[in-house]
Amino acid sequence: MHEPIRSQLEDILQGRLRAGQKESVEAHLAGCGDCAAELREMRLYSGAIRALRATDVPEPSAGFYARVIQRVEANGRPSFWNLLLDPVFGRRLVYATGAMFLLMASFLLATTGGQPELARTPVEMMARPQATPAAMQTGFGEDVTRDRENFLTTMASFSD
Amino acid sequence: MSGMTGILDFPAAGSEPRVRAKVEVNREEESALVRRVQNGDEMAFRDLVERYQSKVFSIIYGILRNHNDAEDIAQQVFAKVYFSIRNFDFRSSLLTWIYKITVNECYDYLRKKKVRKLVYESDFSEDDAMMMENSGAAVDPGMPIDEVLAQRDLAVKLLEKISEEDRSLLLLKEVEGHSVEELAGMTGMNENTIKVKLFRARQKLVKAAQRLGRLPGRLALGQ
Repeated sequence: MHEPIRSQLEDILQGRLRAGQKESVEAHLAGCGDCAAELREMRLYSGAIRALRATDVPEPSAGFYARVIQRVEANGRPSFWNLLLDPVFGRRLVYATGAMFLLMASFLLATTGGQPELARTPVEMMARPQATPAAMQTGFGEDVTRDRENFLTTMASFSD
Repeated sequence: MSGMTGILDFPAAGSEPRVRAKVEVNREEESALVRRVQNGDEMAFRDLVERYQSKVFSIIYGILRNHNDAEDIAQQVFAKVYFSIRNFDFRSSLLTWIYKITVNECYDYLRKKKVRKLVYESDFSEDDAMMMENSGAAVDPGMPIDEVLAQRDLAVKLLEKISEEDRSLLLLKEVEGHSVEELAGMTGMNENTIKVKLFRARQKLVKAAQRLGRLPGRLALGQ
């Protein structure tokens, strides 16, 4: 569509062109088939949309506001899935999961890191430097774990 | 030049019927009302609903032509307004904002229910036809009722093919009868932008009609 028509399109469609404008538009359309065809279609669809104008519209029935509020309350009550899909709730869920993971990891480290490794067999125990008879004889009562291992070693090697 | 009348069938200036349900609100009053609703004032929300309910009803009824659907969708529109009003940024008028929500709800409804044909072919009763014949101010009074229905059906289908913004703008222009100047004031855009947007929206309608391969009665009859 050419500029003379495009720039005045709304006035043309509304029939609000002044006398001078109308003549120049008509002159252009007489010589430009493309503009004339496009304008004809636009006018047609403009009319079709105008057919959507409602006349004799029924008023909302009594109690409309109360029904709106009921709808608001119904829509406002979140379902379980809506809650999960809610971005704020989802973000909080991620933070809470992360915090829980950190807490559990630090608990595991604290409880397993300080434990001395116990010998599984008497041979293992005896292979350890502190498990020598000399070591066994000194410092009894200072380290309960070592004392227990020494005792178990003695008991296990008793039959030998 | 006499041959031009078929192309340039100028309607008489000022003949355009103004069928808007009037919502006369000044911008300051409107802003105050919105702020009260944003702050959770339920009386303000009630005021808003009562002020705009007729307008919302007329928009929905214009597209769907069914009272029960209009009531149901109007409730949904105001529920959306209630939940979304915190996002209202005052760039456009409240009416324009509610108008967009309403039109979108209508098209969501049509999309979900697939009732585009149903609206005009099955739900259209003799009473509706009588009412339309008697009221007829919105369309050419001499136009046969089946042609009016075909035009409405076509308009609904074509508007479905364009963007929400284009759709609202065209409806505000053609159905509500707002001028370019009024639209500029309502949307916060300048008049040239409105003209360009309207032109592009109209072009999209033409293309959508070509894709549909459908023309309304008059054109098909060679007028």
